[in-house]
Amino acid sequence: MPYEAEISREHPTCFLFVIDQSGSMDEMTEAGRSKANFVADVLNKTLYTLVTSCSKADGVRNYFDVGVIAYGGSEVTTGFGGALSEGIVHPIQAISEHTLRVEERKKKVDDGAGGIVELKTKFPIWFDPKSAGGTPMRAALSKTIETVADWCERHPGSYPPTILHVTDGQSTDGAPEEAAEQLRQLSTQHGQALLFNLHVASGGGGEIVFPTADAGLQDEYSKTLFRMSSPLPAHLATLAGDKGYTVADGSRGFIFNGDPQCIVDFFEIGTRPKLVADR
Amino acid sequence: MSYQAEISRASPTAIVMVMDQSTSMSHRLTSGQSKAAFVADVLNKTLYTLITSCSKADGVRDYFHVAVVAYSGETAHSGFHAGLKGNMLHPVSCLADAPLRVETRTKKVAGLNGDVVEQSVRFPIWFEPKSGGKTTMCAGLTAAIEILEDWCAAHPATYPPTILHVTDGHPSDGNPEPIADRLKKLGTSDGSCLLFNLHVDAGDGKPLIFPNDERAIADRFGKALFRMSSLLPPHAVEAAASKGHDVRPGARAFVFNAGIEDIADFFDIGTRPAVAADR
Repeated sequence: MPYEAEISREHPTCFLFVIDQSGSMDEMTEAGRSKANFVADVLNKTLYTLVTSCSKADGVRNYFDVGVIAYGGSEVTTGFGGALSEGIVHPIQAISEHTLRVEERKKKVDDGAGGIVELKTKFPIWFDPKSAGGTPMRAALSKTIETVADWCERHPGSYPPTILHVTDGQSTDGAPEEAAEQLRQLSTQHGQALLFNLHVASGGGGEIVFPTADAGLQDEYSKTLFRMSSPLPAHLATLAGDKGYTVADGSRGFIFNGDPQCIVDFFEIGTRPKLVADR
Repeated sequence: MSYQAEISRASPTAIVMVMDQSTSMSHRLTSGQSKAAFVADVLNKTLYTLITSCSKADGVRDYFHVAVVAYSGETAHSGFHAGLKGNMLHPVSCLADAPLRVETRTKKVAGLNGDVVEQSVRFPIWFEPKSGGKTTMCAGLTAAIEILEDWCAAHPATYPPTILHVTDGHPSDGNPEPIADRLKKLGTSDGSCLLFNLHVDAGDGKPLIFPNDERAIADRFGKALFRMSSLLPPHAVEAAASKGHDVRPGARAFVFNAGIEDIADFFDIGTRPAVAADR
């Protein structure tokens, strides 16, 4: 059965985040922040969660190799900086050691007795939001293919790579479907690479989550993104179901017009491979 | 000048909380609690704060008469428990003597270095959260009118009553605007009754705090709640400004899309009619 491989230090898996940084990502969400800003927060939080899930008494174990590919204007680059700016994919342990900075965030929460208390939390930053220029999605996917092909070759016995692609717009450098197809053909012994696509809303509702067909999708472009998305493997479909989403046989890893909660859930569902073994 | 009357035992004021207990109040806030549960916590804390502000060396002085009207399903009824039924309005000293029960809560408190310390606190409960049935807002506001007609007749020169109305939905029993108008026509020689409206939100919508223009609100029903709300009285303008809100001329006693912090602030600001005099 595919997608059942145990994840261990000998057989890590790979998460690649492919993030649209084109000009339109500066549009505001209903909560008054830019889409780019919100996506960056969720990505940084996700990276932190990945680090935490690999933290054991003896340190951060390399269960995951993680990379961020950012695209916008004429550029496709790593989304990491500093010591991580060489190459794309890095072991999670290296990521844990090389944040860009650690911010202090304030958050007001229910104090449990009818009042509010302000919490200060450390918020590590690896990835900064940007939004400028066109949407070179094809170039970004080519870079992703190159990265994933190389990784699969070196990790034939691992759980296959997961690619989370976040965009709000149309490709400006040609049709991306063929590149996506090529990407999903890449594989390890435990299955093909998984490509999940998130279309970020510009408001107005009408979200479509993990659809089985492109029937409800309005424009050609979102239909393309649907076809580009891998079906959800069984364990991720279960997870999505637990979060209250309707999933069926053939549900794709695709969210159209996702609101902020959807975006958070997308990252969470997409970065939970089946088993993390204690070895 | 209105809203200048001194509040004393001889000349108390009245506070009526009108609480929506319809089904939708069971929706979760981002903190994980239901809207109904959080609002009930804030209400109970507010009652306790009112009692504390009336507690002097010689006991609890009756500066305030308080009622809670809860509406849902087909009707409106007292939100207090059986021991406090009979009259809808109760002097604070009676409330002080008869909570439904006293719970032990774990309260989060900000510590010295911004870390959070948990404290065990005694938390008296007078009002319990419920959520089921339709949004019988007209019935709820009509009940407030019945209570306050009598009270105003008996207290013609006191600081006028304050009504805090909390809802998350659209009325299911007709148009509440004429009823709100009737309520705001009641009053004493010191001014008309003050109707504060709080619209509770479970999502990520941006809160609008004491707006002065209904055009800022897209929702048709939000606009109606704006029109139903009194002009923010001087003491509340001051209290709101001290919490950092930008209060413009013509601001209404209305908060739209309130999150947990706004809910707590609303109760605090709404229940500070004037400094209770020491007599």
